Amino acid sequence: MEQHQQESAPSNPFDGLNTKSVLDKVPAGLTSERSRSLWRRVDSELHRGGVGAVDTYLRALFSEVIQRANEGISAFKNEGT
Amino acid sequence: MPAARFRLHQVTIEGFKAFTKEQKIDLSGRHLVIFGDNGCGKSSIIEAIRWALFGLADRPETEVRNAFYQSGDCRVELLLFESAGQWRLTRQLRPGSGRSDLSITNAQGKSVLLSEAFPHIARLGPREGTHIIYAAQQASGHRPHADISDFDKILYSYLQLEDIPELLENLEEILEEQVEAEKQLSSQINTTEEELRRRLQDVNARCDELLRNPPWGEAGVPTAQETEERVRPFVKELASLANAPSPSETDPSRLLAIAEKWMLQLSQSSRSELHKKSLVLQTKRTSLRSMSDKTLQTDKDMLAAEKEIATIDEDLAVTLAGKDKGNLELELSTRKQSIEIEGQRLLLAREAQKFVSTFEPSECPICSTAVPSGELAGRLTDTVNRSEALYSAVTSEVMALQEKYDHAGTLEVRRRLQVKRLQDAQGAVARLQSELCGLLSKPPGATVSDTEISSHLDALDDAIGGLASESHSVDEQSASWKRKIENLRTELRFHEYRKQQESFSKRLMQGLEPIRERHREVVELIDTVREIRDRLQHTFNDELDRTFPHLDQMMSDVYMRLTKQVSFEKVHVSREESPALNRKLRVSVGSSRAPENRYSPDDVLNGQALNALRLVPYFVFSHFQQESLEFDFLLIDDPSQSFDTSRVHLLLEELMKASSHAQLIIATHEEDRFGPAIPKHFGNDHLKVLRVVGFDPEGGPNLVPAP
Repeated sequence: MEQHQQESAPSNPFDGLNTKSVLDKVPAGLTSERSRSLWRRVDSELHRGGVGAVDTYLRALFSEVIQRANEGISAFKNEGT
Repeated sequence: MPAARFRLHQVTIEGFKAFTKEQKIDLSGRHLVIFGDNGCGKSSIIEAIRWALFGLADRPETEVRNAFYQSGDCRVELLLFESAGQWRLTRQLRPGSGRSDLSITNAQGKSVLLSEAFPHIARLGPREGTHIIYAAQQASGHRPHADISDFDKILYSYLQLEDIPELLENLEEILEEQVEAEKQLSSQINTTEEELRRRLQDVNARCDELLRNPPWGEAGVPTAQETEERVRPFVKELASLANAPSPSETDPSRLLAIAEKWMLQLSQSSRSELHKKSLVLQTKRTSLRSMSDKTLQTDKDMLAAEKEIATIDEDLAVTLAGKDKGNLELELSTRKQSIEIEGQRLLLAREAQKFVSTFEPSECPICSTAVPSGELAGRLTDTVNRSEALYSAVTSEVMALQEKYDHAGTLEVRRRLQVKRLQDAQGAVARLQSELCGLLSKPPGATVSDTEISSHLDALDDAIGGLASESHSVDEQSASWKRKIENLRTELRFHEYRKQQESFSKRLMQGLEPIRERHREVVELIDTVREIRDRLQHTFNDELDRTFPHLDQMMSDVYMRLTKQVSFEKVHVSREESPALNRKLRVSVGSSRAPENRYSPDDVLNGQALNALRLVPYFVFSHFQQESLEFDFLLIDDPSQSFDTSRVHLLLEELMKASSHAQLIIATHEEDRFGPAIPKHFGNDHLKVLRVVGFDPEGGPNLVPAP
């Protein structure tokens, strides 16, 4: 088409910057194996199904631990009646 | 650089804005430039393309319909070409309808939805005027589906970072929710613990209260087994007294409940029996007392009657003076006859006296004996006097006799009454004696003396007293059993308190630990997610901070080329410092003359410069698109609204760069300035130039190809 279409694309100064490059730097700053492990799972979910998948995974995780705690409380209360 | 998949080949417009009857504009994939005076319909072409793709979501669509073409359709059709063939996109506002319909037919002639055909269609720019419309391919990126109106989304999208703020926002939202859930959990655990502590305090208080006055007194505190060992024989004893089998129940509290039932039954039955016996004796005593009283009264009556009879007899004897009443009656009759005779004599004497006094005869009128009248009168007076005296004496005698006779009669009546009274009393005594014999179980006809009655009454009093004493003993026994049951119950309660104290203490010490452990898991998970969120935010901030100087430079360059701003030639992008807005970006403008000062564009830029600023990211990043687009249109309606057109060749150079990937559609009234320069920059082969040579409200714009 125009002469510019034949030109090579200008170099992108933000080439190295994208979601993945940011995410890849996160684990290095995490302080515990527990955090790194959870991050790996979050990262994996993000790649698999985007933020929605992370949301589903984390909510399920919280739901499980909170349910366990609630069950513990219920069992404790029932034990006392 | 990959070219967009689709090029716009034809635009058909009917009844839209300035257009009435259908007109077709052929571009054949080339750029389009439309020259014409203001108000002749150029803008309608730009707006028609935009309307076809987006409609008017925020305004009534009826405003796009041509007021002089109400009977016809309001319709815009875009023919888009790709290598596989032609796609037809038609938006139509039917007469009378308030909303438009969009239909898309693909190269195979099949209908598809916009969301299926171009799921990532987006638009940059102000509401009117210049627009950039592009659609990313389905397989790449997550570009916003809506109108991009703020820099955050634009820049994050171009920098391919849009997932990060979304992830951060999501983590924030999850953390907020889970922190709230954790607080509730913590509150629940605290409430449970407080409740247990309160119950422990309560049971401690009860135990202390019980120990202030323990049922075991000075003896040592019994063990639970010792208490149970006391309960069983006691219950056995009551079972035996109640003629009940020993209960099979083993729970001491229930055993005591059974024992209490028996105890109540026994007490009630004994009391009832004693009461019945006492009632019988009391009835007998009452009857005996009543009979005794009646006997005494009857005896008194008899004596009184006898005495009265004797008195009457004496009175009668005196009254009759040895006679009987018949003699007295005869004498009275005789005397009454004498009174009558004497009365006759007196009457005769008085009549004779009256005669003599009146006629003064010389002889006796009866015997005719000659008597001097004076003598006769004297004799008659003597006779009358004698007769009156005799009459008076006889009358007195009769009155005395009559009085005696009447008195004797009265006495006789009184005597008869007393005799009757005496006879009644004698009958009553006989009946009472008979009843007494029956009551005291003596043979009929026997006599019951007062002494016997008295003796029987004493015996009854003793028996009733004995029963009362027996009833009292029963009450005492019941009270004693009751006390024992209560004491045993208190002991059992004490053991229960002790058990509860142990249980509550153990639960407080050990039972809550697993719950606290689970709560700690929640807190740790929150802390872990928070650390991830913080780390991600930190990394994201670092990356942005590294990007900003390049970004500022590039944006300032483009901005300057587009606007030739002299007052505020620097564009700055920075992060909002407020934690609540930490994923927001702030765009400010400044000047190299005072680099430390930055201003909000809305405060210092005019409308043209502001419009240009909104387009800057496109011109910066569209060169570096790493993905091919479905289509890429740059629609410029009156360049002077958004760009500095004083140096046309600079703007055209910028547009020429953009034309390497975008299809340009430009409408301008400045033909004298753009006309000569445009062919030099774009070349006639890639350009379609139209001129609006006239406008008729009923026929619409008159479009002709420019030479």
